[in-house]
Amino acid sequence: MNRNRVSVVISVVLIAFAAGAFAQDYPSQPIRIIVPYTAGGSSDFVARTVGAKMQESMNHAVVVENRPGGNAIIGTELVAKAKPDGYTLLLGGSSVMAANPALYPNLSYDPLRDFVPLTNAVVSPIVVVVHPSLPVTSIKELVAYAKANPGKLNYGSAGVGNTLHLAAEMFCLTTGTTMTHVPYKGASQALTDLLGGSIQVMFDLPQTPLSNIQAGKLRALAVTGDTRIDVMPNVPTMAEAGLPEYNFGTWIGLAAPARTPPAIVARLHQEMVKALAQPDVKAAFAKQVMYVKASDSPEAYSAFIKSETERLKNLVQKANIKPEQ
Amino acid sequence: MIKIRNPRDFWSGVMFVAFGGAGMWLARAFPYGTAARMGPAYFPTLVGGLLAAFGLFIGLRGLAVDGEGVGRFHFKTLLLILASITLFGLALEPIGLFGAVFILVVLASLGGHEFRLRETVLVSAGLAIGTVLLFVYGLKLQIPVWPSF
Amino acid sequence: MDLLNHLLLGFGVALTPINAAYCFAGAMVGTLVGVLPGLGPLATMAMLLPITFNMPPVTALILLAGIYYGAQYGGSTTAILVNLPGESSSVVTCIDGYQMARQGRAGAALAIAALGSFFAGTVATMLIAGFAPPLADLALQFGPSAYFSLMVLGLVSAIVLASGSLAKAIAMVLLGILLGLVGTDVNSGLPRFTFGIPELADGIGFVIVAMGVFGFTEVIVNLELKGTRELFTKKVTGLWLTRDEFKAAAPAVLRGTVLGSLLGILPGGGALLSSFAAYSLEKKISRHPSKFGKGAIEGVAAPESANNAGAQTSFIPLLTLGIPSNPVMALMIGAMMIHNIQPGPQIVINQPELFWGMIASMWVGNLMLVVLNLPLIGMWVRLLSVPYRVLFPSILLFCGIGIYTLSYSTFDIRLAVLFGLLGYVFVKLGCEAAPLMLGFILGPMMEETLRRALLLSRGDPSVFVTNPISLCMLTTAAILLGVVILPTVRKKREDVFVE
Repeated sequence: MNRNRVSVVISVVLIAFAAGAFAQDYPSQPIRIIVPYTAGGSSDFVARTVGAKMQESMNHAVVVENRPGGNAIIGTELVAKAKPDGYTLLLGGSSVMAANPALYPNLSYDPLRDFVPLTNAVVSPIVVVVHPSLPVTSIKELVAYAKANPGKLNYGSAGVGNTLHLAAEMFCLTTGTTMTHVPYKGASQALTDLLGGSIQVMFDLPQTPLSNIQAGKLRALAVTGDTRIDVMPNVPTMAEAGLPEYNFGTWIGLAAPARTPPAIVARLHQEMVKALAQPDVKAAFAKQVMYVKASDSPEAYSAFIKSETERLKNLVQKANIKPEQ
Repeated sequence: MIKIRNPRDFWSGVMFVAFGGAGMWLARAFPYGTAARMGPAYFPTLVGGLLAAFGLFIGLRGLAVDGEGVGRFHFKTLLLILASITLFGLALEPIGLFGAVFILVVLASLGGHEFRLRETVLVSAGLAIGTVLLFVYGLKLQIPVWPSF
Repeated sequence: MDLLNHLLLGFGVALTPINAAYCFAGAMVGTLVGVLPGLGPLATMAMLLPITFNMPPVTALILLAGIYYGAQYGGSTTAILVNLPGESSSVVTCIDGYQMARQGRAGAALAIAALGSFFAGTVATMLIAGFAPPLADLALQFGPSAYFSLMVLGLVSAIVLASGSLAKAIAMVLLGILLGLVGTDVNSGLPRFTFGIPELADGIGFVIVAMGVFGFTEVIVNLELKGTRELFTKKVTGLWLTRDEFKAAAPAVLRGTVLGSLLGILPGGGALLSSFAAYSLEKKISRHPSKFGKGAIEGVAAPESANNAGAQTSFIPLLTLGIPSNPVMALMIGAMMIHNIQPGPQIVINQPELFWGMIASMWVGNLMLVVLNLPLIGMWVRLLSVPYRVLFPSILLFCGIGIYTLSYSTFDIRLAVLFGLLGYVFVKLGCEAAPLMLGFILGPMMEETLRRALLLSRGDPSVFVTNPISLCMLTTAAILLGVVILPTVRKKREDVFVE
């Protein structure tokens, strides 16, 4: 009796192993999406939302891990060095893929060499906000004021070389103005000082100051991009406000380590695009002023990253942005 | 031969001067800026300088005014305890939590007073099982449990 | 009255079975996480975030908030029992709390920590309920110059913190500042003192230093004593507070609550500063300052109340302005995002059930925590009777794991060991660690705000005295400094006279 049972168990186990060996199919382990920022930010939100949808669709565990630190370099390096088996992915966007290479000549990773871009996920415009005490009510007036008072306006950013800093510098370059950069250890600290009036201007991602704009504590002058933002319907686009030549946006996408098998890359791309196409995903992102813009193919995303990196390299050079005083 | 009247103060002073000096030295790599527009080196140099100055004062005081001697260093205990934790850290990823616990507990126990091998092994086993259950299964933390090969 | 209606609404939300249950769960998990050294509420909240996806928004936020302030309660437990700060805000509790445990008064220390925290939590909740918007506006008035002056005031209070030689205390503060400067400089973006190590680019974690200097050092030093059996007096004299202890502690709780509530509103480090500030205040106004550092109950009551009050009021910038005052609040914003809530000034108007429900739940959570923790005191105290040769490896192990889980980096463990060595040297040289910790926290913020204030004023230093708040802080600091130094100077003069 006993021996029979044992042989049944053994057979089942063997079959399971065999099945596993044949079904070498991907995925067979949890997929980790590494977010190189602390939990709670917009990148984190994108990762969790897309991850949750992928988990449903692939019927397989997809987990998000936060590995913040060193200007997102630590998490990015982690994925660059990870096994290219499709189980470790990176959520990285404009700062990781395009800005960091432009800013740090000795960067320990090369986005296009160490990664296989999968797809872009969302793009986000930049909004120009000012403190209500500033006597400007439009972009044109801001430019005029800045030209009349060179260097007088203080704008805040989340750090030297940060997206917000770059956005502002691009503005100054485009309009031929000078404003004083005041770096902070994070956008919310900058926002606090903006609300308090210590600094007067901020080039920010829309969702951070959104509630304060709506409450009238801050004045939004214009947004970049082609369309107005739903939640800020009275704020004109740059083009409408008379400054079509200024364009700056941020984007968030996903990548896998280089040498990940093309079949897996294709599968991941497909799943991600599928997740991003869901109407509830689009709606959830839109509420945070992030617009879904998936890439047609991994190669298309690759080309996009390349062109953005060039653009930012140009900016960094012309505006002489170096991690330095 | 200058008598060190207050070894505690004297050696504290030496330590402070060393740290302060190191701070000022390392800060040399960066621009100082001016008082109105400080560079990255300004504040560290200032602090390092003040630290060294206080260190000097305390050190000199240690030569002039009587005081307590430096506490006795028990090197064996110190080394064993620090080594146990360090090796735990180094072993954690390659060997996994289960094994690393043994390393830590055995080494650390050697640094204690009475080393009882059997008891130590039992405690290690208990802690190994307990922590794996608590941290990895209970709290779902991503700590490797077993060797990764 | 309006407030009453709001509170009723809030309690209605907070006391539904589901919300109450999740509040309890959060508080329990939070306490556990707080007790475990290293592991913090942030990591736990991030981990539980996915679970909250399918919950109603209020429930999710209640759960997460519960974890946060539960951790504050738990952190004091290890601080008192084994000189290990479970949370960064419990570092100050180690100073006198641990000594109390050594003297058989662990129960009293744990009790006053829990009770003080509860009182502080209640008061803070009332403050939030009644005064959130004006308090938030007050916080906004703190520009860089005011912050700088606050830091200066904080540093001066560090001098009060020390029991021994004044010069040594100042030197330790300076050393702390220097160590705190390791990392990337905000104003220039350049990494300082990092020796090219990427893990140091964001600075040395406070928890890592605290683990090393307080936790590891304490174990090594204890092992040097011939008889580790007598480490904790077997005669545990009662698990509760004596009448005298209660009378001494009560005003300390009050003062700590006020200080903590105010400092917690300030974004960026206010809550951490509050426990140090409360301790310094107590020591300064005490009639027997020499008691401090040897088991003074005020030295436990005040910081514990302060840090809990600070933890609660740090929700204010979040709920009223949509600005997170620390990484935990940033995570709360993330959680709100996931649930399609826009944090900011209109939450009060658009989603009053959410706002008031959260506030009411905070109080409920505090109540649950007191109810949960007080009976556990007996259990914790019994833990102390475990033979030290079994206890101490466990302490080291939990520290090691806890540190690892901060950033999943074994480098951090080695760094903590280095600080353990440093802490050992400090003990042998008779240098106190507490002033160093305070300098470590305040130093970088001081530099940041100093440079920022000067940048904004284009190099004009008068901005520190023209800004009213800044002037106020600096004057207080000067007075405090004078009060501290004067007696020492006078005493030296008297000594000279005697000779």
